[in-house]
Amino acid sequence: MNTNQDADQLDAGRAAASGLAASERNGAPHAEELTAPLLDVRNVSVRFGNLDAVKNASFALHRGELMGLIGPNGAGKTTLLRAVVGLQEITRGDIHVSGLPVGRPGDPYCARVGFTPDVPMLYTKMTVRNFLRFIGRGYHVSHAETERRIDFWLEKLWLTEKSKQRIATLSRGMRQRVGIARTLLPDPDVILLDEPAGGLDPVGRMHFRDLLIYLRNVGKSLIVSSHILSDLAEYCTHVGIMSRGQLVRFGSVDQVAGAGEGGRCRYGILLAQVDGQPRNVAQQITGVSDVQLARDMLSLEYAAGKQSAAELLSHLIGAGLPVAAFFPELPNLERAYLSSFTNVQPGDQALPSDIVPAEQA
Amino acid sequence: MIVRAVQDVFDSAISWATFRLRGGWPVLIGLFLLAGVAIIGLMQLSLAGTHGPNAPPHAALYEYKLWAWWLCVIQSLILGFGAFSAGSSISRDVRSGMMQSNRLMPVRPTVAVWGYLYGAFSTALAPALALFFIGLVVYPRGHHSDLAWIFINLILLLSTALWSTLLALGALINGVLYNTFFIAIGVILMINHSFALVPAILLMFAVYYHAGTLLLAGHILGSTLSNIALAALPLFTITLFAGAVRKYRYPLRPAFGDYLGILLLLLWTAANYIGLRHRVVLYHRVIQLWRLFGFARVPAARLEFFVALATILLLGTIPVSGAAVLDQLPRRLRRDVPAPADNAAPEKLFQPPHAPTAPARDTANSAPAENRRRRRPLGLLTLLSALIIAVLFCAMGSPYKLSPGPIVETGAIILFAYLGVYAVRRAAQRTSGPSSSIISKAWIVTVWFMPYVAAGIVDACLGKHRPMPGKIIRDISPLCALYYHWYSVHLPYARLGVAFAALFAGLATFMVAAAERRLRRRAAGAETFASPAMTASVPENQ
Repeated sequence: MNTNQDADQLDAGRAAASGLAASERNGAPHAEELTAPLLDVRNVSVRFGNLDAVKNASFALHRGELMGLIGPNGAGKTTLLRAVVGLQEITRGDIHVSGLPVGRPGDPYCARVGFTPDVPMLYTKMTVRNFLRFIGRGYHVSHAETERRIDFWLEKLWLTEKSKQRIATLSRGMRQRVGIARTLLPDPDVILLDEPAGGLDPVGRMHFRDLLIYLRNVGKSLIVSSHILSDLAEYCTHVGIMSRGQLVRFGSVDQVAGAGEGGRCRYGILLAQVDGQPRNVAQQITGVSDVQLARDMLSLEYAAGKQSAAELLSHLIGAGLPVAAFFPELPNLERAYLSSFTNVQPGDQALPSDIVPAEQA
Repeated sequence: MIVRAVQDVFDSAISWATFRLRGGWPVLIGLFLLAGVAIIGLMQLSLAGTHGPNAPPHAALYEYKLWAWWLCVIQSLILGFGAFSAGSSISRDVRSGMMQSNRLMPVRPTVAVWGYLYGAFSTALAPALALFFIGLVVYPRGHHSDLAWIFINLILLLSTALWSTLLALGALINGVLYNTFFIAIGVILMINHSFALVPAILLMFAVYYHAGTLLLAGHILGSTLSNIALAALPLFTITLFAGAVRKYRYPLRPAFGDYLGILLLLLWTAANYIGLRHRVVLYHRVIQLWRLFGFARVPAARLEFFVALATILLLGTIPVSGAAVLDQLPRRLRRDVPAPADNAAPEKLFQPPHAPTAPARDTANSAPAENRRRRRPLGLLTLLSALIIAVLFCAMGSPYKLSPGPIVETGAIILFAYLGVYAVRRAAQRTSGPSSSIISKAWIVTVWFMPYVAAGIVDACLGKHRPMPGKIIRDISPLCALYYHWYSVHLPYARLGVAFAALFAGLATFMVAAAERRLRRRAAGAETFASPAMTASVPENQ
């Protein structure tokens, strides 16, 4: 796909994301716009007195990239997110959003970045629609346009029926959705969500996951801070792990998940029937490790990547195993996450007990 | 473009939201009608007995004259309520976190703070407007001029603007219970007529005398002094508004930094100076309004002078603390560094002290990211200002012949006192960050006020026949040391005050040096044990 096609697709996607007809959006992004990072964080440090809340963090996110930010409580995730939107003054470093330096309140960058904290900030005495009208005014969106965007996002977030209700009467999960609508209404390029799924029920989480994938696909850059690693593995393109104020790992999900185990992946194989010793057969294959058999399900580790997966499958069939189904498991962020703390000195840092494993999430 | 700017100011999102949260148009129209109907109804009731054959002559005229006064009082109350709503709307947003959400919007801080003031005040404006229209009818019937009523409203609006800005600033700084605090202060001022002891406040109260003369005589008496008082209101309002905007923009920094704090201090000193010069005239004018409450005695000149000096000394700690905090800030975001295009920004022209340091600053910013710190000679600048104010104040006090020549001692005590506050704030900022403000306030209370309490206890224990230990303890406080200087009594002990001030300044400076040394050592230790594996790296393909 060439750059112009990319630009057209992104333009259409962005128009949809802002609740606009594609024809009404002016100015397709140029090639530089597609290659330049939407969010550029360089050597950012935040200090509170003697405490280094964030230490020398650097990363960049491009269009369509979604970063999951994980780490134990007090690791500096929220401080980093607040610094990115300019709510937290930084001690050192530079942050750029869509090429604009992050600075004082009211600066032009404000229109390009949106932030939803874990407890959304809302005028609870207002109705949902009036609150979003207020946000539209604050971002200098015309009245008609605001109304269109409100309708679009209320529908997208399953809030249409609640539009005339006062926010004070809404449940925590609903308020969370209003908070997300507040963030998305101005159509920011970079979206930061701090513990967004905290107040959502299982169906709400599903909707939320779909929403994130949608936003990612329309070319937004997102950072989602969460403790639910299984969710992050599903929709994130990138992962950042924070510990004691430092961004100890950052990269694509595959890079980070593989980083702790030398670029390896876990594969699941459903056997048509269990004859002989399939476990031993699998262990004979070069490069295979940690083979486990539970009834008719064989699980093993092998090199990550499409080519390696094809190679492993051919080896398994060649070895005479009756393969009924073959699938690489999702990247194991939990292991990568835990391995990030193996170098921690005893007493320095409590192990991340607040992380919710996949099976409990 | 101008229309757009005006529209932004009066129709900003924040003013819209604040207005809506206070009920919006239905409440505004309802209050307008309610106030109008209630006042007209009451007026009709009171005028009912003034007609007919048994009514005394000119009864209606006297009734209208009385209503002219009542309208003044009710209007003051309504506008006062409007001022408190501005403070409460800000404290509500600070508490709920909406202030942060609003900071994320592309709304200029000036427009945002104005939006809070204007949006909250608009609810009070409706009944005030109803009263204004009623007053336009009532005043001519009470043989007063319409212009007098218009001018009274202007005066009330100006003083309301000052109060609402002060409350808004308080709410931005503290967030909680600031209204209660200010109400308490207001009540104390009214009860103890201590406002009359502070020459600057006495001057401010002259505007109400101004309004009173308009009402009584139909023209302005002693207009020069009253006009000065009237001009002082917007000057203070603008300075406080600038502080509020600054606090909105940088929530973790002091509202009044170096230069803005000095401006506030200079304004306060000037108001005190004028108030002190015309104290007898002002007191007699203001007292006319308060005679009913039994305030008739003019306080002693030296007492008024000392109170003014104490308030100036206290207010002077604002720029000193501001300078200490700003001096300790590491180089922040580029927000403090003008981009090339910003160099020509008009506001930069009003910051001459920055100009000599600009080339050095640019060089610092072009250096590697490490070890860049924004260094400005703020401490020195503030201390110099303090010295100038001390000398000026000595000059102010000299006509009263309170003391033969304590200018040098006064200057030294003020300088050492400020040096102590500066050093403590600086040390506290280095070691404890946000709680540094509490530490420096604790220092002021302990060193400036506690010795007076301790001396009182010592005197009570030892009896009046042995006053020396109590006086020595009092001299630890710079305030008491100044008191002794200006009363020219116990001069041998007064000199001790200078020595104490120097001792405490030295102690505070030592604390700074110790704190900085400790931090340097800690930073060096941290670098030694830093693990390269913990450094984040951006993958090459990013």
